[in-house]
Amino acid sequence: MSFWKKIASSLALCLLVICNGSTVATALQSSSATYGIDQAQFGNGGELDACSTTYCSKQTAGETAVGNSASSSYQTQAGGLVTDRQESLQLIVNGTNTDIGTLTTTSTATTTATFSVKSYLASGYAVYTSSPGPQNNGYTMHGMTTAAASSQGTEQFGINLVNNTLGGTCNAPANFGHAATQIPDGSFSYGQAAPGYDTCGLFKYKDGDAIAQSATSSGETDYTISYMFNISALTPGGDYKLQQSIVATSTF
Amino acid sequence: MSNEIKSLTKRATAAFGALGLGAALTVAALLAPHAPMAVALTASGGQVQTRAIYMSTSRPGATAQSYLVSFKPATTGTLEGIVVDFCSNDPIAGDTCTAPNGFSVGTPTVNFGATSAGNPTTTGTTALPGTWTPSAAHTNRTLKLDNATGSSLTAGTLYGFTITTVTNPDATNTSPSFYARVLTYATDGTDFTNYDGGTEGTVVDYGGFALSTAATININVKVQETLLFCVVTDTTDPGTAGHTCSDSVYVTGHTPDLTIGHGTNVKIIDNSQIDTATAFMQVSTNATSGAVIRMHAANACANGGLSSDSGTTCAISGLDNTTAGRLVTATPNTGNAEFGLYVGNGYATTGVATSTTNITADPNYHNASNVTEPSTIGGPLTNVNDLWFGLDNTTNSGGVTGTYGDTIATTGGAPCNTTNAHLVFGAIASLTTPAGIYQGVESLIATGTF
Repeated sequence: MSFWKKIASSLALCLLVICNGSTVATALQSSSATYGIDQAQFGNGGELDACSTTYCSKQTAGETAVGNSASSSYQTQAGGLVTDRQESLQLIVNGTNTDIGTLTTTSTATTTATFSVKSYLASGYAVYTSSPGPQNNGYTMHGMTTAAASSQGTEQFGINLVNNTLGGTCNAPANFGHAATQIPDGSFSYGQAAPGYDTCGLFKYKDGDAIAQSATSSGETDYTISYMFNISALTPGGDYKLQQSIVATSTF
Repeated sequence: MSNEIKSLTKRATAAFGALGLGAALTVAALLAPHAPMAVALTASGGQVQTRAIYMSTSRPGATAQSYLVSFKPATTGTLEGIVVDFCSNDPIAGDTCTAPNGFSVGTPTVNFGATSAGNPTTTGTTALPGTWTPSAAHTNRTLKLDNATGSSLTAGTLYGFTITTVTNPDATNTSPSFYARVLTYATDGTDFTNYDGGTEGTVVDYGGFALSTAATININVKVQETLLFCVVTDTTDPGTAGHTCSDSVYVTGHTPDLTIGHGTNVKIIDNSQIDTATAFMQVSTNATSGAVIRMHAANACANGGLSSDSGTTCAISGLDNTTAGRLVTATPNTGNAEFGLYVGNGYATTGVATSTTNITADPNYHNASNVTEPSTIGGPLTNVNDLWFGLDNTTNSGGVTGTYGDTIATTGGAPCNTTNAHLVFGAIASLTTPAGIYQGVESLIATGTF
């Protein structure tokens, strides 16, 4: 093979187009059957491991293209040294321990919790809630199996992932919650609340339901879960605990 | 650096200039021909598609969890081995694999059944054909499925299987993200047997997954134990009028000071008829096992009867029976003077959507065949068999005269909400009952079992 053909091969590999159906996989970032190239970067500059005694960083400068591009058959994660080029899923739950006090039949209790998701080189992700509702000594507070409004005096536990406001068309029991936020903006991140959990003033809870999703690879989306609690005169007395596990699953 | 490599560098730089990628580009790496590599993995097929691993929980360190592994093969053909390897470092087949801290597939139990649409995959998964024997490797980091006779999988079909013995990575890992790799083998020979990350040998298809544990969201709330019980009297039924014990003004204004008798100016009892007076009780409780309502008679004399001398004697005796019965056999009464209680079954409060009806009268005070109350609240009975009464003074260490009184009704072992019941007191004098003002003080007590 001539040197010019070798150059052409290395240029193609350095763009790191991830195609379906490759025949050989090795530990190098890019390779053919005979040659391999690792840690290649064509740009104005960069450093894989720029380190002080305490911190390290990956750096690039002057990249001409960054981010995800996809067709129906291929997708690429373009960018320099700081771009993650393997399947990735990051789920950060801001683990909370919240005590919202004592419930009564004449009031509605609300609270919120947050989590964030990003996933690259995926054809999408879904976030599931994996836990029963609030429990007390074997008794589980009634989860709202269909999205519905708050009703004081009726035993209800439900969530949504939108911004809730008092009055108006929303008519939520309080001003609480927040819509999904794309980081840094909607051109990089695409997560949203799942159906059933995406309407202001309506709440739902079924163990195992998808509560958030993205149909493509996505940068970071910050979500806020809004929780709503009502009790009836028949709700057994005691301490109720909700221990909610959030599970994110990406499809690659 | 060799002359060849120098020349190569110059030409690479010129090539980027010709492509118009901008000025001052730097070639940061070299393409260097080298000796043929020792390739750790050779794949005859390709990358599996639509691959995902569904975790039953993301809680770090959780044990006995289920992982549904699903993927579409890239290649149609016979397989004898499938490997799923879990790594903390990366999902790249061919790389070495470091086990996530705390992770284990256990002594693996695998459910090979198909899954239905939406549970949790959108379309459902197809069971792997044939018989697969699971085993663990590399200190339970790796799941291996062995099919000694081989089964054919079809490219593009979404297969799935569920490992039910997984322990999630624990919280000591530097990142909650971790990875998995799936590799398929045409035979269960040496490559499959000796599999490890970085020495996969020859595989058919491969693919990587990313997963993540996450902190648990904990929210605590409290619900108070509640019991609300009241007894009132009124000329109309307060339950059907929508009154509740929460209405303190109503309750305070309708204390159950009952007068039994007939007449216009002064109400008396005689032997001519059975006279009644009615009170109404209402119970609300979230007690898991419901509530019991008991009645305690202050007059200890004559079966908790009515007394004209502050309880020293009771010339009008309480009905001495342990099951509901007639107050007297006939009117006019030629037998003894009697006093008794009838308890009605529960009914809801009008206008309270969540009101319940679960009060059940004790059979000592209620006979299902004899429950016809006077048409006017506090009126006389038309027939001695219209309403049967009781006043148990023997059961449970003295019945109504015992320390805690006698059970007259229960909520059937369940919570109740604004449930009402009638309390009808009946009395009839005998031909020899001394004249006087007779009184009884009956205390009703509701007890919840939480």
